[in-house]
Amino acid sequence: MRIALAGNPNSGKTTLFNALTGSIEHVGNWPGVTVARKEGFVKKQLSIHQNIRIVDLPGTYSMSPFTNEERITKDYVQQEHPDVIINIIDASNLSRSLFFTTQLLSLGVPVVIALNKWDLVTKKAINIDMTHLSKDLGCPIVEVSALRQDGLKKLLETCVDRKGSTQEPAFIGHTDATLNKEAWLEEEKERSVFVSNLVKHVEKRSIDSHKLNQHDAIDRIVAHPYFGIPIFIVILYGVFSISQATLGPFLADYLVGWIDLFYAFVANLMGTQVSPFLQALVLDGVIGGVGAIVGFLPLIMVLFFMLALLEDSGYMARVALIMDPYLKKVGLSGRSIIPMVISTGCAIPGIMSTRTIRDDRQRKTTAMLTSFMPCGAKLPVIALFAGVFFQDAAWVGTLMYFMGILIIFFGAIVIRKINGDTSKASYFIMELPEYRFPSFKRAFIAMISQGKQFVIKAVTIILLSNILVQIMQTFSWNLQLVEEGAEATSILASIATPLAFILVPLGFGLWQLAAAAITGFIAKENVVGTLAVVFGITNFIDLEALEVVAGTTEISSIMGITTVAALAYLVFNLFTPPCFAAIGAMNAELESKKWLYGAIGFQLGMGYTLAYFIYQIGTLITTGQFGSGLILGFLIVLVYIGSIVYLIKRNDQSRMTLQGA
Amino acid sequence: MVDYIIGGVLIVIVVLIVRKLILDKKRGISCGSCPSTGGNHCDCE
Repeated sequence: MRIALAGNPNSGKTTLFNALTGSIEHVGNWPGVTVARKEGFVKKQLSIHQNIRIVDLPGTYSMSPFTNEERITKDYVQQEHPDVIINIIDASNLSRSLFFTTQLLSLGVPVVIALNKWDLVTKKAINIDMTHLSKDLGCPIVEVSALRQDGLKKLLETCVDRKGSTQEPAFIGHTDATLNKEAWLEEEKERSVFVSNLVKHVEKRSIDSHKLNQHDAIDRIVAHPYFGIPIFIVILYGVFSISQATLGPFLADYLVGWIDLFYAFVANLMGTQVSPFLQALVLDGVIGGVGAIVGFLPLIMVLFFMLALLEDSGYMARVALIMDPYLKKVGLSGRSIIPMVISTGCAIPGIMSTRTIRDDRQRKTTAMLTSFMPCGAKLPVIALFAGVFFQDAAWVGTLMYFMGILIIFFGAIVIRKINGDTSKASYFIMELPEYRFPSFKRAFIAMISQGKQFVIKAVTIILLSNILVQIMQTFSWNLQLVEEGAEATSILASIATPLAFILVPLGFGLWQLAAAAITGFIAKENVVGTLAVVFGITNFIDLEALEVVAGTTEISSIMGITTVAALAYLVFNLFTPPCFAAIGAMNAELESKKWLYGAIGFQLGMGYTLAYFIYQIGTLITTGQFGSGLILGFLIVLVYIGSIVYLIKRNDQSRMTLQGA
Repeated sequence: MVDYIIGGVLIVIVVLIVRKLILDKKRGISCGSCPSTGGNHCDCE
């Protein structure tokens, strides 16, 4: 038996899906979190002697195919004919939910309505005549609380009962909506009238919803057009202070202590019986390289825990609202903020979520730029440089996030100038979810899930990369062991050296740093792993331990770069193209090689140009003279800026030609 | 002898990791990890 979950965005579908299947799909207290359908089987605890498959569909307000995620729902329901549809409805917002319900009821598939968020109904003193509503709609209604997992068994039993039964439509229009768009719009108007009459009939509200409540009072401050952004900056700074400067490093200290103990244990076990190459491979490549990344796990878990709390409270939806006017000014959609926020976790779902943007140019621009937001994989790189070069300063992380936002704004302006603004005026209609006290349980689940994925990645892709890096560093091209002091003859050095030459103007023209940047394209955490392997540093967090290993606490002397160059290196790694997997996602969403190559070129040039200016200007300020490679870097930056200017001019000329014609 | 054992263990680990990555790719989880979604939205095809 197959059951489809359908409903409006933020009605609680994914929460219900998780409650029914025992999955831990990402849940967000704002619309647009689910963009692809997900499937799972009902968990054993709810088993009712049937093998029930549940399909969670993206939220939609209507069946009309305006956006891709609405199309997924429509295609699934109309073509694959599930046995029963559970239409999950936000009980506190009937008038908005029932529009979609009446469309679902017209499909002929039996529908069961799950009336969710029942606790809000009581809190808002809303009275719903369930018997009347069920009779008017012609389908059973079950009260559920997806959050508290109440009423789930009854819901499933009702679905089993309904299987095979017929479903009559509750509303029949007077026009044939399939004829043309006007006829369809006419029918939608009639449907709206039908729904509002039905709601008047079955719903009684004791509290006037037009009066300002506590949520409105909070919104007046946090979603204020002027105060909203400073408040967001303060909140983000607070999140970074806790995760990157205080609690995160405190917990990480313990973890790296255990990793160090394990390292010493294995080193002791190997003794002198094992060849130096294998010792280096196991100790520096595997334990050191992977351990250096895993050491950052507490920082990442604390950060994601806090972001999950913010998201669950409903605050992130307000961030989308306050950013909307600024996004529109640069030619993006208000909806572009959703992919940007999702990309702080991982750029791949962020890029995929651009499907919710209707305008093609805005959608492609967002898909092209959203990976500039530092993702979870880039966090160890930020934490490493903030920790060892800037004394765990929280401003480094905050600055990187705001740099990401500024680059997205700048990139959007450039793309609009290159392509011309062909988009029509767009309106960002986003339902603001109720504020609620964030669930520590959900934030904990999200944190564990993310931590698990981080560790899996560290012991698979990162471990493989580190082994490869260690082998390439140990051997020369004729497969001879590289002598101590002749590391520049290694395979790794010979591959990375040409790139290192181009990186001289950025302050880090060392083959080791170039090699780390290259491996970062496989996965961004690799930057940290490779640095650990090539410099033989197993512990980037505990500086006292570093003193024992490297004989100094000055990591700049180990890496051979200045603090300014370290900042340039961080910016270069963060704002050049993302990992290959994210580029693959970009390829799928952009559906155009021209856009894809444009995106990669723009990102490469952006990372290089920013790092160049940071290093050269920073060096001028700190030492009184420019850094090395000034002219070479200037020429490269000039080519990049010149290409952008050329593309903009070309567009201006073609537009003038068109106007002349 | 110890070298052969350690080398053998490392080769087994590498083979297992490559196998997992290939299987993940076949299942559509081709990007290894997506922290924000628990790896479930990572179909990069």
